[in-house]
Amino acid sequence: MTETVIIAEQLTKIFKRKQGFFGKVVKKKAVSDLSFEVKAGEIVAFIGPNGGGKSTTIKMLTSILYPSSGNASVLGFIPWKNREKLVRQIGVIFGQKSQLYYHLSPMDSYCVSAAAYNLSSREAKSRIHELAEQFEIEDCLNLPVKNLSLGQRMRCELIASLLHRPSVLFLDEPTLGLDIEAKHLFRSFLLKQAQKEGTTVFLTSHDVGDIESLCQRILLINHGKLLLDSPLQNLKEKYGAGQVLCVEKKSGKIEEISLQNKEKISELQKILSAQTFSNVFVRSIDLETVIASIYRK
Amino acid sequence: MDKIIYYQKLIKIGFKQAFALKKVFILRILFMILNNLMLLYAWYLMFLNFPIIHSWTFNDFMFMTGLVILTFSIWPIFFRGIGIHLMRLIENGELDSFLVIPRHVLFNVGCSVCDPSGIGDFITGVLLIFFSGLVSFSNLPLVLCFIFSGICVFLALNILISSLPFFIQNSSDVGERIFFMFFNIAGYPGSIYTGYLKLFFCSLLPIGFISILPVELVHTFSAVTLIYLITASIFFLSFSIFVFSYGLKKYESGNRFNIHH
Repeated sequence: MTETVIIAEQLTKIFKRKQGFFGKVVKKKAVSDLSFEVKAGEIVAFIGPNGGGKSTTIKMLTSILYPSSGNASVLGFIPWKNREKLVRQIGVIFGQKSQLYYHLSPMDSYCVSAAAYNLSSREAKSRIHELAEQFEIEDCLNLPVKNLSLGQRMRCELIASLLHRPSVLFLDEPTLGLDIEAKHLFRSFLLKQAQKEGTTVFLTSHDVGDIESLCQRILLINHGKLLLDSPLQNLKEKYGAGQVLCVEKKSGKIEEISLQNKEKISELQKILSAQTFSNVFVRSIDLETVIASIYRK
Repeated sequence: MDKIIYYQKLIKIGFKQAFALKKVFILRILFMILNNLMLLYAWYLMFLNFPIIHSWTFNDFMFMTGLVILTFSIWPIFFRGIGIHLMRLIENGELDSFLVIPRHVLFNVGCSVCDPSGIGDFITGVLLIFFSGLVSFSNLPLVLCFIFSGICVFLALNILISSLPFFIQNSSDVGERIFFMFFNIAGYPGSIYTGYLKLFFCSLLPIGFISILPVELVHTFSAVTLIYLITASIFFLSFSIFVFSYGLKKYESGNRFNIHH
């Protein structure tokens, strides 16, 4: 049986803000009774609209935030109680936050990170070069971070987070600022890593390309609540991602018919036999449209 | 052992980062020495007119100033991240990068920044203590105890003030002012604090551990006072770390784009 590595049970986070000096305390529920499990080796997309509670959840699972109520366990550790032990075994990448020293080279930052994870200098060097080779940034390792492009810097950030071979990776917008080539490299590296070392990946991203090329399962969250927990394939089938046949009637009205919908197919046969159409064409519905339609619901 | 290696590397990188701006690095050290000497000269002129202030001579004052400056200097050299830098990180919700590193957040932030002006303070402090005439080979261990206790007190005050943003929003500016106010109080001759004020500064707000008790102990040694000085300093530091850890539970992460200095 596959081991469960991430467990969230009715996880809730309420932010409190006092309005004015004597004002009342205003509460905002960022995450509400969130429950889910992730098995070892799974690559899960944790998606939702802005302000939906994704980052807050990741921050609770990675020991950055204390929850207001509920329980969570990552690799058997309660994140907010066993912070140091947990973060030794996980990797965290925040697309908009840096762990590199601005005036120094990435190599300098890696030396400190390696010491934080108790890696020997030989071990660290070989891992840095292995990762740098895969991300094709060997030339940048000794340049000051301030002189790197955003894409190069992001790739260097990724190396810093993967240095200690984490068994669970939490990625919050990891491909932010990466160009197409770098995104491709990152995705193929991540897939390879997951297959080779059984790394569990918990990913939030607004880039549907990341989700489609990496994830097997989708957790969809909005207003802090879990709306959907589904394998990616089921989601596509259920919400009609794929190709849709569009029939333009003589009246000018366009009817869309999903080829998975059997009732609609018989309707299509009727339209075609009655010859009441002026045009027939195929339109693709991508995952992004599907996700956007779920957000709207 | 691995903790020592880690913090050693972190401090080294902090120095390297500060030294990346070489000219600024050297200028800050030189101007800090000049600043300290000018301050001392002003007090020297004062002592020329009033050779004894509440039983203290200029030598006592020199010893105290040396001790205050030297113990203070440890903060910018090794723990500069604690203070305004840490307060801003808490306020802006930018502690995340430090929280996902398997080391103590407080010391991780503290050791990640170095301010070279502290080296200027350190040099001045050592010189003042040496030339005060109150240090001999026999009381050197005692002076080392004062330095240890002074470092604990300054660090503890700084940690307590740095924890303010966990409990009071946007308190970093006022926090910085409070810290430098404490430093200024510690910079006056300790003999001017008498009665309840002395009791207050030697207990609840232990600035007197740096500016009052050491000079008294050098003149009249008391084992009880020395033990009190050391244990209370350690307690005060431990208490401040506890307050910080408690405050960390109230930390609210932000989503600003950020990068290390």
